[in-house]
Amino acid sequence: MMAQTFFNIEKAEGEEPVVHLYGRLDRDVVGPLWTTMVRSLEEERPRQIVFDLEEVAGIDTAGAALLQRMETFCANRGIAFFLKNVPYAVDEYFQYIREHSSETLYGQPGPSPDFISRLGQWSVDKISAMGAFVEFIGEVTWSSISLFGRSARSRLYELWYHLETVGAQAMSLVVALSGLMGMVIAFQSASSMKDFGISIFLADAVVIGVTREMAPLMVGVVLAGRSGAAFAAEIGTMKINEELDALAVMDFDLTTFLVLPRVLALALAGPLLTMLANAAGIFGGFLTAVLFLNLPAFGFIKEVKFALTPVQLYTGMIKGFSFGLLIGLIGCFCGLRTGVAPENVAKQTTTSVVSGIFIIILADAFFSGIFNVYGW
Amino acid sequence: MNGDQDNPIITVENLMVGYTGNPVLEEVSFSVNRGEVFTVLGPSGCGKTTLLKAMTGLLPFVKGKIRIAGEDIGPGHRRDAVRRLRSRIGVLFQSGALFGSLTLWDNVMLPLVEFTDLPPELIATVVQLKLDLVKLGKDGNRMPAELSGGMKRRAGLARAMALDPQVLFCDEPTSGLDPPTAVEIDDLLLELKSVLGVTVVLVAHELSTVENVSDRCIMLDGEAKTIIARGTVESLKRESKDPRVQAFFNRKVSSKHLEVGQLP
Repeated sequence: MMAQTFFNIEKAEGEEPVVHLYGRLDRDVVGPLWTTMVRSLEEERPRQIVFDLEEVAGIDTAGAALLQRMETFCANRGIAFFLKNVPYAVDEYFQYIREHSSETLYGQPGPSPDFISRLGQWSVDKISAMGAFVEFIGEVTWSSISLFGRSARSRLYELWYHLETVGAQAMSLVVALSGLMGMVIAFQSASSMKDFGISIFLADAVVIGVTREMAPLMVGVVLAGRSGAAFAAEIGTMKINEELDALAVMDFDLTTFLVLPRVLALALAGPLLTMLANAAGIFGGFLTAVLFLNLPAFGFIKEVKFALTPVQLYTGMIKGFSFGLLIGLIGCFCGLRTGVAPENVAKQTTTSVVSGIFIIILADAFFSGIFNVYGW
Repeated sequence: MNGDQDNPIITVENLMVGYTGNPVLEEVSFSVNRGEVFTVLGPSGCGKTTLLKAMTGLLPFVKGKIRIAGEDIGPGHRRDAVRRLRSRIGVLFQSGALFGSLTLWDNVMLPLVEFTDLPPELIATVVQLKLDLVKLGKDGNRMPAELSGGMKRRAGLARAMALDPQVLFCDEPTSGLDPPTAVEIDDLLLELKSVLGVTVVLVAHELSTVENVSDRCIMLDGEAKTIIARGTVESLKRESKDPRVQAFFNRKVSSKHLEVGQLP
């Protein structure tokens, strides 16, 4: 319970002020006392100040902090500071605190670095991360070559397991998203095509839009959010729990054992899911055309057959494969770069998703340029 | 000092934790006096940590009564009793449970900023004092991941003590620490008790810590699911005939491993 009145400043004419304190000198009361004292000492600048603790019933660390801080405050301003009638319990507590106190505030955070320093640090971090990523790609390539040796058989089981988690279990999500995307493309194209009287070419728009672009991109986003993040979190947690160290001392090659099965699984799942997304997307477009836009079903199917050339499928699948590979590499790389502190897992997981999505869009732009050059 | 015996700060009556029909603990009753170090002993898996969680309001219990620093918590009591209780207790977790994204300084400062109206200058002084008390005065700007196990434990203690609690609960404060570091923690707990008047409830199976610091103790047993012995450590060690208590205090290898001719 808070004390009723906790301090009183007595100041007789021509004499130095005496501060009487009452009750418990604890964290509930020292805040206002400190503010008042600082203000009145700054204004009046007495030669000395006396704290009379006769009526003080108890003290806590905040109270001790006040006395200690007040002493320093007065010393810095040339004011003599005295404690009077200190009860035994309070004195014992205060002495104990003083004995152990270092007085300097060592850990208090200093000013944060300026913009230029932060920019510099950021650039150095990014460049070193990029260097490490290139090195990592080299390692993965090397171990995938050496995989054809002794341990291929045991890795096959791992690959199968991961293929199921990242591929089969993502199917429903991919079907739902791509189906909706096909519907969106159909709706968006319908109005402008109607104006030109070429509504039947809606099928072409859906096929090209879905197979070349939307299907691989949707698969990429799903893989980055679902599997890339899971890889980063999984490997990161293993690092925190020293499981990676345990594997290393048992002479497991981390890249072959942890990274390769995951990356290969994603690289395989990418084109497979893209095929599924193609089917779902075109079906979504078909449903929209027939049910909402009153186009003839047979005409739509005929047009799809015409538009769906192998090149459209291959380009999409090349993208799907590359996106899977990139996301797998980034997910595992982020997981392995996790620091020793547990919160780094969350940080690396976020990084893996953000970089994953960024890099697949970058790759998408790159592929679109290449395909354009070759006329695919 | 065995605390103020007429004025228990914690009373636990007929406590049952777990599920009806499958309790982890049942019929647990004891009281802790103000200003003493009270230890809950027992082998791993006997429900020590469960009891600690029930006492700190982290684990709801089936029946019984827990009264700590004037607040009744448990079935039928309001949630705000637990909130009021938490402003009067501190908990030192087994791992230290420091927030990994904050420096030590910020870890200790967090409760002070959140739950007091102290001006920033005094908060800074209190944080420094708390870190000084656990001998981490110069490590305030380090991150928890950079600390050794013993330092984490001490930092956890500084944070648990940030708001000057009346009762400090410690879950295995010295397990896994080397003997000199463990003794440092023991010393700190004793200082908190004698100088700051804190009541300490300790959950432990480290015998040396138990012997060093505890005034009274109870022992739990996993199969009996309740208290099997109570008293001072010395009295349990010397006077108890219970084989479970003896097995806990007298660590001996099975006689079949002793070489022929070697005295057991």
